[in-house]
Amino acid sequence: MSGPGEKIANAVRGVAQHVGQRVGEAAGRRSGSPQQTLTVGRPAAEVAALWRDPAAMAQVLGELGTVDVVGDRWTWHLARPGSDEPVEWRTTLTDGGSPRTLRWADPEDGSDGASEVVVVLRDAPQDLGTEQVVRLSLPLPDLAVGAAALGLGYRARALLLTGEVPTITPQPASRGAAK
Amino acid sequence: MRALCWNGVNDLAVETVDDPTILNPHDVILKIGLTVTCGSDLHFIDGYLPGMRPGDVFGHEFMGEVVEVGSQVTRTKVGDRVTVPSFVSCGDCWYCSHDMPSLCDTTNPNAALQQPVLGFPSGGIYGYTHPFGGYQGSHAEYLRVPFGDVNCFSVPDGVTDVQALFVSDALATGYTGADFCDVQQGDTVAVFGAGGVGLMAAASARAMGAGRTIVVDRLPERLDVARAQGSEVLDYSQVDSIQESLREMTGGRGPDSVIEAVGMEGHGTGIQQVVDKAKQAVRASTDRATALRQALLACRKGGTVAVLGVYGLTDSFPMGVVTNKGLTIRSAQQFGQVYVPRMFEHIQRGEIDPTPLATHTMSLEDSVEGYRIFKEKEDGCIRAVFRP
Repeated sequence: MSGPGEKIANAVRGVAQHVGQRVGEAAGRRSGSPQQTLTVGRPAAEVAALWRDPAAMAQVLGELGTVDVVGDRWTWHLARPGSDEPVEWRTTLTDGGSPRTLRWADPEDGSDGASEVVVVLRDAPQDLGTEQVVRLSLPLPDLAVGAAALGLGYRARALLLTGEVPTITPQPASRGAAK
Repeated sequence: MRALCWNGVNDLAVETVDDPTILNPHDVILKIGLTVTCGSDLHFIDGYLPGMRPGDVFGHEFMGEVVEVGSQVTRTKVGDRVTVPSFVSCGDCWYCSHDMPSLCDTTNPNAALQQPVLGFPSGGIYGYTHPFGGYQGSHAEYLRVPFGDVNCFSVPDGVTDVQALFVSDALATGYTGADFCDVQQGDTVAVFGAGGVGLMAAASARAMGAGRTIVVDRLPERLDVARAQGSEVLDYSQVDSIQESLREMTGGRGPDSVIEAVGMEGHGTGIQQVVDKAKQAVRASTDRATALRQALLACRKGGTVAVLGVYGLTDSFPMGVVTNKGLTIRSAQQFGQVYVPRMFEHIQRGEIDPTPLATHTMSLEDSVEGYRIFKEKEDGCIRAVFRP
């Protein structure tokens, strides 16, 4: 059924989608790919080295998943909210360009909107270090991806600056023993 | 271990929970010596501040003894008697290295929960909601302290456990507010709220050179403490207008600075207070910002208002007063790590003494009753101190 209300709703959805696409294009990224930029007080080479280090990435991922690395082939096992079965995602890492860009993606998936993890590193002004842009398009629900973009960037920065990732696991504020 | 848990709005219980363990190499485990109620806890106990989960161990103002250190802790030693500021600082990020430790960029494990509300996440804090990190709180026998070398401060000789306890938060917060006022020799500083933070703000302002401190509250026993510590007092329930009273007390000039130490559940008089209470009761507003508005009105032109009270999303904020009076507003959660050494020196010289804040001391097992007494301000209670 297509009443007046539904037509209006469709029109609003269309406008919103169009605006979203244009905003995304204007920001130099695909619409729908959550992005979080943080400034990290370290040179770009150090930030890139951390993202290329499988052991560091294991810490950064935390409860978000695990990753197995052989050469430039990275196989991710990403936790899926509400499920015990992780999503397996096979990627290849490419690294280069100016500004330096690290990109994990499946080279055989050329579809529009294919999954990817992109980290762009550019010099921050005033000797503040590096602007680290984390952009995610993952085979997970949007909300989880949005939170992951900040979580990964935040943890990477913490690990670089302090040598550890902030955690309350397995010791959250809540009770853990019998009452 | 035994700990005080938040199980829901106005639902607290002392329970048995897991002991904390070292999770990161810079962690320290503390045996809590003393831990104390704070007015800011009442906001989530009363249900005005979201982000708690059933079973959360809360509390963020404490001192104790180091019983275990992580592999990369070098300065802090087992056996040290220490105080710990309530916000967790890493010591390495831009904010920590620019003397703003509560704004730490690395210590909030739940940054993604907080960023949508604040725009940028703050540092973590012990026992104060999950958006603020979800760390275990101090109303317990043991506590994990991240970055022990940055956050644990050895208590020097001549400073008692009780004094060290309040260095953790009430004094640290008050001292931060007084420092924000850039107190000049002989200045007049008004302090709204004679709770622990307000009393310590007044004491700090005097230690920094204020000629007069005027503490505003309605509770006689708290005003007595303020008076005994060297402040003049103003019982707002006995006057028609705080603003006019302060203006008359200061030769028509107004206080050079005003420190607001009340927060989102403030009391007041008049029609505005009725409106604020009604809006808060139906959750149309998170805050009763009575004291904040009064502070802005009372301050002299060109003066500074330091806001220490905890607020949510305040509406009815009189921005025109700020602009037209040329006020400077400064606010932050305490920068304790910056000030602890100075605070200890003030205490050792007898210039500041937080001891009178500890009006009630009891076992952790009695802490539910302790919070009731504190919340109801019964029996002259300023703060209830728990000894696990």
